[in-house]
Amino acid sequence: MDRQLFIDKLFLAAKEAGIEECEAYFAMSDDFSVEVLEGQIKEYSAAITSGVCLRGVYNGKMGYASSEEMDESAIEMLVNSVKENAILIETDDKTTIFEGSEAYETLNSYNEETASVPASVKIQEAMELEKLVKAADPRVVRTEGCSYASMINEKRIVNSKGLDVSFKACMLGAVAVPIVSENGKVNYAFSLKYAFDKKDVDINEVAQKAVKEALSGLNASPVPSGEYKTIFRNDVAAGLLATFSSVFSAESARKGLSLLKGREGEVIASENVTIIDDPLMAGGFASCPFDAEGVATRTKTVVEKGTLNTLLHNRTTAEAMGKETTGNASKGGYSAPVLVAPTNFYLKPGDKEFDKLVEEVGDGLLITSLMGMHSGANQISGDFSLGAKGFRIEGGRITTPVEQITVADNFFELLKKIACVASDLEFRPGISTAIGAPSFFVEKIAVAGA
Amino acid sequence: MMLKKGACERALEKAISSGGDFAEVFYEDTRRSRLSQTDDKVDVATAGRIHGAGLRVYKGTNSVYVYTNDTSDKGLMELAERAKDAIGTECANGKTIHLTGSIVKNIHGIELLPMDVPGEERVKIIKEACKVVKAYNSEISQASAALWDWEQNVTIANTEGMFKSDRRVYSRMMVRAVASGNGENQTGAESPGAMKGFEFFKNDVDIAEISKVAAQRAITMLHADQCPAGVMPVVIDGGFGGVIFHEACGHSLEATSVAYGNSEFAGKLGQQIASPIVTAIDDGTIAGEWGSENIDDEGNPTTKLVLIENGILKNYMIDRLNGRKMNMPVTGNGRRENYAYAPTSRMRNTYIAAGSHDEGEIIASCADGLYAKVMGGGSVNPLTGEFNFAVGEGYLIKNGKIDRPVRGATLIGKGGQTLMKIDRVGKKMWMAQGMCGSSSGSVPTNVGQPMIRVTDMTVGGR
Repeated sequence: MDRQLFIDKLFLAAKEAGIEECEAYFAMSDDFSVEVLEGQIKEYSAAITSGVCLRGVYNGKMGYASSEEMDESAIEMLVNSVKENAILIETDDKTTIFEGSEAYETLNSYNEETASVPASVKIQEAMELEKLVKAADPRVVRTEGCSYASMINEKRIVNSKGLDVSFKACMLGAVAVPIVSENGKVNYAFSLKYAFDKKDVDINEVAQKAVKEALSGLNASPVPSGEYKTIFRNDVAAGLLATFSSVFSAESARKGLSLLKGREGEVIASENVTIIDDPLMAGGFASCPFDAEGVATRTKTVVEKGTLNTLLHNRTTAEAMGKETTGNASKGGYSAPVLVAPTNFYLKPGDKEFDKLVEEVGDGLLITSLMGMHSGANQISGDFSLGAKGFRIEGGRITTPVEQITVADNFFELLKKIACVASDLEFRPGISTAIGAPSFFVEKIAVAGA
Repeated sequence: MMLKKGACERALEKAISSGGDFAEVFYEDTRRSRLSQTDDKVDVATAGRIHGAGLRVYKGTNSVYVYTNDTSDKGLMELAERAKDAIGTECANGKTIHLTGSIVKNIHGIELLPMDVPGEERVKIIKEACKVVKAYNSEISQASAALWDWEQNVTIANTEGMFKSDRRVYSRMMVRAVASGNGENQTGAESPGAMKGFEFFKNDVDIAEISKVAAQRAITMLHADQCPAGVMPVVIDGGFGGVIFHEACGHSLEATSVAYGNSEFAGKLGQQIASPIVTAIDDGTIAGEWGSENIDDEGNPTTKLVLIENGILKNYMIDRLNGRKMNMPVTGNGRRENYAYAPTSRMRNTYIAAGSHDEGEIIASCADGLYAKVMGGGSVNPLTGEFNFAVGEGYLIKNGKIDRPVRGATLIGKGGQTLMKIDRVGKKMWMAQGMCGSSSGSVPTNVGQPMIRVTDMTVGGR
């Protein structure tokens, strides 16, 4: 069925069923990935898929239903399910469909040239990447795979109040996973680079970075248990911030799942900490002119020199807590309910270069990998206790590699202990949320080791 | 909407017309729903329909996977066309495919299909859980509960003539308590699930009991001290404690890792890889269990597979593609989250079998150490065997007695070394439910074990 015809029929059926106002959220994606191993294609996956989520107000409550089929039977299922689900909802939330913002920023995350790179070229790039990895050092024994992937995502929100906004983004990138061996010891590392423009994905750089990382970790050993001066490298720092980003959500706060509830205006971190959410960032992976409710997005400083300015809101949390929405309504997939999430969310970098920071720390630890973020970190309490890898810092220099240790602390206490933030901001790629951080330094972290 | 045999035959023929030697269609139509409640109010009620088909073509050990939502005859032919173009350039002679339908026996007796249960009935389940948690103690600051269920209808067809359909019905609930005091929050949660219909919540789950357990855990952890860091003996209790085996060993026995030599256990069949008191099994055949199946997602019958017998490595878990690479038969372990993933070797209900040690003696004979009563989740790198997992409810052991509760403990180690250090295996085995994430998505799996003891492990804390 033609898309516009589907929308017209869907809205008509909803109206006839007594649904007062409704919205159709469409997501379309075109995903491609290829992984090569020993010059052969190990995995190849390609797909074009789409789905629709209908949400509508019935009896004063918001019901949801979604479908990947878009035919007559889907219209009936969507409308009936929205009604059935709305009846079950008991919250007092005044959730409504949004009529639209006055103006939306113009952003460009879609490049026709990137979108039309043929599969054959992506396969070649993956093959070439593997050759570069293997040629980078004689200690590279093989790879666990080298891959090249692309994704085109388009979303469109259409509602019964006249809103009709859409946005398209396209990115591609490469991942290398070399396995290195020396004197019977084996190590691996992975490196990736994603960008909107193929020119920005330098596969040689990806190969060199991955091999260097894998080699540097050979012959690692644990350090004795104790407390250490510690630098969290930028990628690890971003991982930690990503893991705990939900504590800045008003949705979590309202449900009593964030210790930042009601603490706007208070000092919650050291003066070195400024955290920004910028959905309008040029070249940002998660940039988008509107949020999942269709509200125009805007840039805000969430934490300014240690003071919590605002939590992140959607229209429902803002209404309930007497605030304005920050344009952070988010859906974890087209079928998910509207909740709250950051966009391009990052710890603002300082002036100090990474090498200079290492020099000033003198003796301590550099953490370059954290494991078990999904299990060893508790967003509600802020506690984390995670498997880690990294390096010793001795005499102001990075020396020998470290493995089989854990680092443990509490995110809220950590924020207060950040003593220095370096200048090396780096973002982790993500489609609706991209978290970034520079490396940062903390005076004392508990480590379990040998 | 059903998958038509004729359209499927034409698509399979097309898919192998450029030199492919095997093709498979995986068709799926899934209805799922989710309900959740925070404190006393239902706040999420959603329903969704997942619908699509995936098509795989092999040429030797090369594999291409394409998928779509468009399962019309035309959509399937377009899918086959894309797979054909990606796998090769030959102009092979047209091979005719004849599919033969066969009946898959459903060993999991489903009494009440989730989709037939009215919303109010489902709401009662989560309401009861929240009510019990809230009433448990004044330190409980929040109660929440959720109920998920889904019905996955699949048809699997391949160029060897297979045409099988299966229905999988899953039901699961979660109850969570948050306890607060002194500006701190701690949580406790329980989440039973089964390959059963709605009758699971009525017949098998004691909602009041699991709600109390979750509430008590949150309170115990609120009053717990930080776990000290260091190397010590660790007693891991049964049930979800089996996550240690799942992470430390199970993933490394999946063909996905083994076929490429990316596993510390590759090439070790017949060798001792664990302490002689360890026997481990991966069983997809247990009726009604969360990780069970009738057929796997490649259409092969599910099996009961002995992985380790008295410490000796007996079997790997093998899917079709990796079986080709390893030149070994499949074991019925090919699984995937949905049609958007190519299947690969995955665990089902995986557990360490009951041993001969008395549980009381296991703790009494442990001078000082950690008792991990309830485990959280974890992860592993199969190449190096490095794993980590969180302890949800832990206690220090002092002089052979369980002492005070501790929080924030993490266990790390290397799979092979840890398996060799198991010096006690208790008598009573039980299982618990989890969702396991890997390259073919997130699939329901059971973990399980009796109480075990590891002579020394690195315990993370502060």
